[in-house]
Amino acid sequence: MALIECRNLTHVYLKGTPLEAVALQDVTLSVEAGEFVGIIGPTGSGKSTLIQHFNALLRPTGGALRVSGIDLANPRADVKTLRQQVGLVFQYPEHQLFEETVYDDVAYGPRNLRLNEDEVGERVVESLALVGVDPNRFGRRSPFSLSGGEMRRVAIAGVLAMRPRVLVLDEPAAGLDPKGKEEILGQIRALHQAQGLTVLLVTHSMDEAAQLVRRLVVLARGRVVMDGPVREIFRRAQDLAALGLGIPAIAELMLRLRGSGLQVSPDTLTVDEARAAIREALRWN
Amino acid sequence: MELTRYVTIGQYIPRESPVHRLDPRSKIAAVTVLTVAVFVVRDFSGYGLLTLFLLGVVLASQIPLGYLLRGLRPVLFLLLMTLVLNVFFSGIQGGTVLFQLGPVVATREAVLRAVFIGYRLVALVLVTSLLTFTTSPVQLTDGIERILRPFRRLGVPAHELAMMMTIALRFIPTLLEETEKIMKAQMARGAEFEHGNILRRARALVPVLVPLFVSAFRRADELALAMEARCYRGGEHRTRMKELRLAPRDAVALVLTLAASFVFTIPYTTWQALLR
Repeated sequence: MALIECRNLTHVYLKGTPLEAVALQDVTLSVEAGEFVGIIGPTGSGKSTLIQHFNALLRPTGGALRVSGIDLANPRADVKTLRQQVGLVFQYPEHQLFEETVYDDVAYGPRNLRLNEDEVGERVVESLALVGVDPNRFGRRSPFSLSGGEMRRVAIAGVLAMRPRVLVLDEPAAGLDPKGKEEILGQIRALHQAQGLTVLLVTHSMDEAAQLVRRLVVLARGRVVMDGPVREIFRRAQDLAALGLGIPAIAELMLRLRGSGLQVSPDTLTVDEARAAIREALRWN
Repeated sequence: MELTRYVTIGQYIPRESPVHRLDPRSKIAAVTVLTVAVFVVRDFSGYGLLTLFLLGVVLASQIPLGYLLRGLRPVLFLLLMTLVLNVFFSGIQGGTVLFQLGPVVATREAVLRAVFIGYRLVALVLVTSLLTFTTSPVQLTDGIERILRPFRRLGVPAHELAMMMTIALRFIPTLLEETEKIMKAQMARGAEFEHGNILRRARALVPVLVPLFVSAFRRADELALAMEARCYRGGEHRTRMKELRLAPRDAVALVLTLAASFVFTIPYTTWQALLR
């Protein structure tokens, strides 16, 4: 059975009040263990609402949802176990730092799991290392004295310290400088490849999606409008444009080259592929 | 985990109703008059008429009655306490005993008084919720500023008070949203807010309050900077885009409210005398 399985998942905010709003409607989606899935969609399409369902911060108001075998339509579901298995990194996670030291902040999750201090320490060191923060240099410092990129990595380490099987990230690179962005995204890719984590990545950047994920789910007005391999989705440039979304810069370039008569392969998403495609079209081999 | 679902007091519900269109000043005046009336009324006939009047206003305002009543939820505990205390510890000596259990006595008079006092509480919440449901926060503070303006000579900083209120009201939803987000983020790291004794629950709030304060101060800084960047310098010589203007309907509403309030406060015995 799939790790995450939604069938006709529907969520209505403030149900039964004059301010009620439908955020998700009939979302059917399944994610297998070990996948790397991107979720894109215009603002207000329900991305954040959807991912909050995956660790039971929100409950479906309609439809069925099972995450790692736990039925979340059941109000008495074992939420604690689930939150341990599904790590959720919110947008601007550095806004949730609160402890006096980096070490204690990352230790917050493991301590909530009532682990003994030895194991807590082990997990803190491990998770900080996973996001490229040196525990010896930064452990004793106040999280509020760090740079934006460092704070964000410490916050992500705080989630990794729960040792989740699934990592869900909401715009993990938003607001960082190009170097910080590259580092964070590189570390997420490494987590997927080396640790075998299942990763769901919400992003506004088509370039990020093209670089990282293999499968893309497109949401619009609370519904899944496209779901498939990245390359197939980005071939539908016109459909995406109609939703207010774009395609990666490289794909756009290829499209324009084809428009001006150079027969490059349309299946091109990265710089390396683009170079190969252009060389081939020009017969430079 | 939807805080806004439980806090309905102070929420503005945009509609195109005659009550919404009234000038905020006349609504504030009407609420004041009704509040006084609620405390002056002493008998069933008065409360009955008051209830009919309030129902009429609710109907005209197009606010669903159920939603309005939901605003009573936060005061439910207070209401129950008021009822219990007044029934059993009223201090009324004598009277018809309805119910006795050892030293605890409930008399007819005490029960009546408890019901009246409880109903007053309900009516107060309803009247004030009607004001906030039908008046946007901006209109409300505009109205308050205009009402306070004559007192500026006495050193009342009318504009500054209104601006502070506007900002505070403006940030209530923002801070609620922020609180919800931080709580969720900490819950994703295994925090529990609904278990344990009071001490443990209070301690569980530290990981919410610290980030909340940090962000509130950051927001305050940003807002101050944004206001200064637009040359904000208090109320002197400030004009406004939407001037408040009293319309004939405001006079109608005020006269109606005053007349109705006067009628409520006439005791039943006087009615009997008048109608004979």
